[in-house]
Amino acid sequence: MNTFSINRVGALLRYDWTLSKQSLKHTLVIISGIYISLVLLTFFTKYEVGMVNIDTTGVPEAISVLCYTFFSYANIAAILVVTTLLTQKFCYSRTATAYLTLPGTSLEKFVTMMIDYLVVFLGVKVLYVVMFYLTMGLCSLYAPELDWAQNALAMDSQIFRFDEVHTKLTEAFDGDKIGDSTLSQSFANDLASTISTLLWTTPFWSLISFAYYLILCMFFRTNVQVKAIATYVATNMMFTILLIITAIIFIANAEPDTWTGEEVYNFATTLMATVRYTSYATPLIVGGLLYFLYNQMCHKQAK
Amino acid sequence: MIKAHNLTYGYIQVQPVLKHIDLDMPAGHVYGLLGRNGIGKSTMLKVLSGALIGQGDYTVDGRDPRRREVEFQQSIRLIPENEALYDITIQDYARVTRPLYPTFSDEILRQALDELHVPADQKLTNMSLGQQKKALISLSLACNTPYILMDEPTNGMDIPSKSCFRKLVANMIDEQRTIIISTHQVDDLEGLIDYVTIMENDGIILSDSLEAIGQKYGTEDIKQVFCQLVNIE
Repeated sequence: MNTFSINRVGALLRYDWTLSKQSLKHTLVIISGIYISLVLLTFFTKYEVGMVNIDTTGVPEAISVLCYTFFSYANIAAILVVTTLLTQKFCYSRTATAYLTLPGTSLEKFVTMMIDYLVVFLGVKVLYVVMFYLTMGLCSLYAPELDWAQNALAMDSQIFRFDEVHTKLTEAFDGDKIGDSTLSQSFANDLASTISTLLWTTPFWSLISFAYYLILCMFFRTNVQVKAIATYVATNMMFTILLIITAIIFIANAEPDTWTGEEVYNFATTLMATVRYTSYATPLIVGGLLYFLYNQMCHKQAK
Repeated sequence: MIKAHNLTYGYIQVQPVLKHIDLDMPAGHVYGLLGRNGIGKSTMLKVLSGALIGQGDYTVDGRDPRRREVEFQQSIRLIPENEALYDITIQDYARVTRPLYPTFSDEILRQALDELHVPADQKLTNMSLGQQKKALISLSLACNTPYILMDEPTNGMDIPSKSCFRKLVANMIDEQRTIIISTHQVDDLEGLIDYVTIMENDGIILSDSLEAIGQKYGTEDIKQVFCQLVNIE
């Protein structure tokens, strides 16, 4: 009788972390290296150029935008790398053969894998935030005459998509807006909110999206990275195109001539929100379906 | 006891590596699993250990490896030909492996490391190929499971180490333990195995005790019988 044992999950986790300590260290060093290189490249190039050619008041914002863009891509790349590494570790190659024959039920091994994944995932996210604030700190040291904190916070709001938090903060501070000079008073509150949201809202949505990627990784046996990333991007694009087509059909049948400008604007906003959330939810449904088929295949083979 | 009827496995379904294998291996013996390269010896061990899912009926000690039950996994240890290497000492490796196997024996580990002259405090990645192999074999033997499956265990070992390995495995033999050693280096198993199983393209072409083989072929020289059966001059 296979009963779930917390002790065995603990033993499997200790086994994993002890054996993977070194490769994890290497991965973190590589990821940090990528972050730091991008930051230095962006900062020194753009700032030096900016000092000569553009109005310095625009420099913080421009660099914040660039950092945000680079960090976002580096963050996604890091998570894709970590996901692929972990999936390969559990599903393929020599380590997987050893792991499959280790004592433990499938559920225990799955829980172990998810804990591993969550820890590494949150680790990368926290690293991302730390690096972002370090960059802004570096910028402040290099050019203290410019108001870096204000722009960093403004970008921070976009990075974590804090529309709601932003609104509440604005209300709480009597109409002060992020980007206004008075914002420095609310820096601590904003930072606290940033971290709390980072630890909940952002990982939640990202986890759904990357759970789908994880399932794709498990589905392929060879060239996992290329195939999984290609399928991940292709399905996301497919659903977005599908939504746009649906929207076009809807608009064509909705007599738009009678719409006011505000109605069109509201409709577009809702459509964009739908695209945004569906791009997370729909892949999850498809991912679930693929996982079901995958299990069916394994089950059929096991008969 | 290991039993298999019509066992089939293929990495690609249309091209099975193991084809309709019938096998009967009573417990308490050391089996030499022989065959040419690429004939499916490693695959057979992986299927029996539950790492790969085969088709047909097969059980190890009455348990279906495909179900990957904890009790089954605690009763069998596969030593693959090439194991993943980690940057840790064998002591640390043993520390995290011990809780997973209720039968784990520190005494066997110490004895195996001593006899094979493996330093317990040296990192695996800093060892030579032969030392790595010996360290990982020592760890697997220390798991002290009733079923031990070894895939080409003597590859990379020097002659004195091979001798120590034979002695070590011989010390572990008892009525409750079944050891299967897959190899294409027949000489390495001399004096160690008491049953021989030979695989060929058509499946198992011989599976018998050395005594029965002696009576049937007039010699207990495994190499000679192997060459005769697989038509090697």
